[in-house]
Amino acid sequence: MLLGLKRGIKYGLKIFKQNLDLGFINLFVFSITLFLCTAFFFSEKVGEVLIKNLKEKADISVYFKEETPKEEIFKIKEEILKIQGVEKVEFLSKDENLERFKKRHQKDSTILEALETVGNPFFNSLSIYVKDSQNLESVLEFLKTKENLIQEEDYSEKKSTIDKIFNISKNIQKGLLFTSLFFIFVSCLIVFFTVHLTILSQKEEITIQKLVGASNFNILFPFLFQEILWAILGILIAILGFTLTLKALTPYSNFLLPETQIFDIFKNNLLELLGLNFLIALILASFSTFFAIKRYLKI
Amino acid sequence: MIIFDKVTKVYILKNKQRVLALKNVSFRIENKELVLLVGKSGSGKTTVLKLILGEEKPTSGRILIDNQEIPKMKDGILSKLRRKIGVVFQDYKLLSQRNVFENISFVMEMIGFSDKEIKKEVPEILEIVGLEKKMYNFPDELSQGERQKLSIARAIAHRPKILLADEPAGNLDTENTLEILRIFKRINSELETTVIIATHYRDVVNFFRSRILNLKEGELIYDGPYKKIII
Repeated sequence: MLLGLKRGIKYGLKIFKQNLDLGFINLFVFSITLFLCTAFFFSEKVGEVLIKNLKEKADISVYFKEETPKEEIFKIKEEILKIQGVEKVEFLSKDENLERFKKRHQKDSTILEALETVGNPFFNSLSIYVKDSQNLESVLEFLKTKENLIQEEDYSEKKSTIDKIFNISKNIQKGLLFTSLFFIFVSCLIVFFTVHLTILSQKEEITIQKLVGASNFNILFPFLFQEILWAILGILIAILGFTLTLKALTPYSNFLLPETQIFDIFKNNLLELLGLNFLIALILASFSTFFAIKRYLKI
Repeated sequence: MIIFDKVTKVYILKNKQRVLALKNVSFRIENKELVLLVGKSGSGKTTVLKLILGEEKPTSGRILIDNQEIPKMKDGILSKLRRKIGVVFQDYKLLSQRNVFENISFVMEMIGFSDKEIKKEVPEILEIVGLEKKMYNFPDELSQGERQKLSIARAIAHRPKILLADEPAGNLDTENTLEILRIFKRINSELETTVIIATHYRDVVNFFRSRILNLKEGELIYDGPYKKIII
């Protein structure tokens, strides 16, 4: 078996060198397909991180009407603290809210000037922190009973953003999935034809191999091996191309998603992306090679 | 032992035309025999060889080699059986991009001989056919006779039990033919290999004076000891 593998690798390398021109076509197709697959898997990862980040920030800020007395707000705070999963409830007065806002926007003179004119537009508020976003439902239900005292809560707004991102991310993934599948299909065909052409140039050797009793594995493996070599090169080019694309897009992504480090997500998931790419390339190379060589194994 | 039991082979051409290549052919070849399969072109000689090799399947009848029925064999078992058979093709089927040594070692590698065995045995085989001095020449650099010798060397490289030769004297002059035929005789007597030679040359038949299977239009018209026959 080991001897067979060693010889298979030797012949595979020989076929690889002999058919460089056909191999470059393979490489081109593998690279595009794997680039798209990488984009697909990566978009899934980014979507997951974005939603997770938003969910983590899904604590509720409740702003009370001007006329709601502080004592009432403190009572509500105590009641909320009793709800399961609530970690902390923080009261912020109208003035504290203003101070915080000013501090956040201390470099923005326009906003500060506008505040001077308008006065204090803020309300007394409670910031509710929960252990898990799933616990938010019971808090929201409780708050509904106090609707008459509440000016607004900001979770509903956050929730709609989460839903939007979720939908956008799903749509992007769908688009990438279909494009990737299309390219996987095209690659299968092209790899099939290039292997087929390679086999034609080796047809006589295959016939002799078959007639002297070489096993199908002995005949198939060198072709599969050379395809795997092209696939590995394709993976490297796809990942390198994707890294460069991501680097080029980083300034824009920082602007659009300031709190999400897209490149870090890529780095953290690089091994998984490489693994998935290798799996796809292996399946692609195996299927195409097998179907291309199948008829020659029937001698 | 090779057994043909009422074997018929019909080829169906692309235009759906049916061509009868063998009709109800039965014979038995014992181990270590040298048998001459004679008949005109198109009489079914090559079909017999292809059926023995499992390259073609019979339309009806049974073919057994060492009590194993070939057409019913799975691919893996057929591969193993083929390792017991060596073939000298009519058109040699040499690999032009490989030298003499590699043409032989390539087959031995495929069958699973170790590198050590290959290094030891290839020169020995080349000595049997008289090509030891041409080990690193390419097929294009060999004469017709030498190519045929290389083809024989490759066929016996894995020490098969059965050697099939399809018109081995087809492209050779008298001198080379004699030399090649002597090699076959040596293989049969010294290596104790069953040899089946398909030929339409009377000189080949007269040289061996061995058992004859005479085919005519797909039918076996004579199976017996050597006699002067008209092909």
